[in-house]
Amino acid sequence: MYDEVLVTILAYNEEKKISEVLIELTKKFKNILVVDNNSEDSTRKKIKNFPVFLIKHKYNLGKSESMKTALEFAKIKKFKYLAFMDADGQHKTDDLEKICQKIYKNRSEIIIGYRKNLSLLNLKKRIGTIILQKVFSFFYQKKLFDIQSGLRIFKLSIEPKIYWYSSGITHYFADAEITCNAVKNKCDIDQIPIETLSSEEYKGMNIVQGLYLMIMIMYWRFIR
Amino acid sequence: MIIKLILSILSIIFSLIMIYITQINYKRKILNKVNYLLWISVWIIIIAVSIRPEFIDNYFLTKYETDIFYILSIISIITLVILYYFSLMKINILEKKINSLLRAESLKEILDKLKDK
Repeated sequence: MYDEVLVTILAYNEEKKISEVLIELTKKFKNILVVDNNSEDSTRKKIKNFPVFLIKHKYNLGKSESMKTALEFAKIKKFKYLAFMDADGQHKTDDLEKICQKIYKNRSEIIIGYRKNLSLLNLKKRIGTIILQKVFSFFYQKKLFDIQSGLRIFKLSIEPKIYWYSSGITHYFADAEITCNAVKNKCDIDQIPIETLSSEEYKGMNIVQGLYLMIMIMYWRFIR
Repeated sequence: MIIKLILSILSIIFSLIMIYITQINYKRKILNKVNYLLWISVWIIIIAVSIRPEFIDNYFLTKYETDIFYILSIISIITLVILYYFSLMKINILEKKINSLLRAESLKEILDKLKDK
């Protein structure tokens, strides 16, 4: 049941999918934390039906801050690993299990799931993902397929090396910042392929945010 | 000439509105007395300059042999950048504090619940 792993789901207005996700997760994982960002729908009501830890933010603090809340909780409860998964059902529990098994078996400190079939994404998102991947490879000299993937696990012992400062509710840079910090600080990083959902269901970034992220990738590499 | 007149009128109207807003903010205690007097003086100076721009123009032209608009544009840009920088810093610090507070509160809530169990 992966006793040392805390699986975290970051939720904001996810009433449609959250029950489905939690039904699957509770079958395989014992320690599940849901950080609710002050959802305005019935998300919180639905979460209460499951045996999970629930942390409620009084305001929507965004993904990055919710991840920090999860990190603090994991440290207080002395978990060894912290895993993140999206609440909108775009990740499969089987894939999460795969990355957990892998981190248990080998010596990796952080494992990231990458979308193996990018062709299911629409053209704009596919091009964006490929450009980001190329920019990342160029500046960090490491080939990672999906630096922003929301499905990931890491050892809590590497927290000082990967700690992120991104914040805000308009963009989702924390995942990318963690990846960049992990590579920059020479963490033992691994990646495994995961299923990709169709682009209609995938909430992504717009072009301006993509460009901003590219600048931040350079900033994290050379300035911070 | 007409453009100068229109610009003067616009800046006077803008300054009067700003005096009104400053007054409201002072009454709401958002601004303290020093801030209030400082901002009121700024708007009054702008009104004075808008009414008699040639006064300042003559002063700079005779004393420093420089065009007032050249000096003003440089000073304005520097002031704007400095103000923007400090505002941004203040917002970031406040955002950080609020986020930490809210996160600590949420964590405390769940840890208390777990203790009770």
